[in-house]
Amino acid sequence: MRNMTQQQLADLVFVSSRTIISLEKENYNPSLMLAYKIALVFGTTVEELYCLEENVKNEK
Amino acid sequence: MKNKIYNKKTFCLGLFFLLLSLVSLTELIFFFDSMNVGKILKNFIYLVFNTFVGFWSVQESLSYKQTKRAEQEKDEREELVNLKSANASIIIIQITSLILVIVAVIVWYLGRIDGLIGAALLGSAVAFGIVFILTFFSQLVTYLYYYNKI
Repeated sequence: MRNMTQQQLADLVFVSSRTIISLEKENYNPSLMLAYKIALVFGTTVEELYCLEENVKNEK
Repeated sequence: MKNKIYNKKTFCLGLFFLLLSLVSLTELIFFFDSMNVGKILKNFIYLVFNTFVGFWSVQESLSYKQTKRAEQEKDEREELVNLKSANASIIIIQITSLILVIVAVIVWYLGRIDGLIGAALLGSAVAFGIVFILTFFSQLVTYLYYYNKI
């Protein structure tokens, strides 16, 4: 993962820094578009970013 | 120097507040002698508040960076927060009005209050009842509207 501040990430994906804080705290689930934007910034996929495989396994 | 307006809505809001401050200033200048201390203080507070908000809004609407920052703050989470808070406030109004209807009716019935106070109690029960019914049905109608739309 890249070294960047919450504000820098917020500016890159055009949301408020408060939204980034909420995402980190897992208080808020992002829209698909925001998830894609964040994944694009970190050069990864949405599946990897949100550990989808692991989460789906835990749900079962 | 020519300034570009980046946010017309904020600019108009700023002008409106500056106009209000001008009204307060005019009132303070021309009617100062006929005013009591309370009214002078009220006008002065209005003047300071409206001038501050007006200048701040106009300045923000003329700045590209500040306009972009304000747009960035109105993101999807902010929209969700607005939706949730609007819904919660409707529910609070609904519950409060229902409680007030019940309390008014109980006080009227158990207290055997007649005359003007009794009529006022029943009137307030009807008024809060109307508020409850209005919020209930408006919620139902908007739910059906968005259920079919989305």
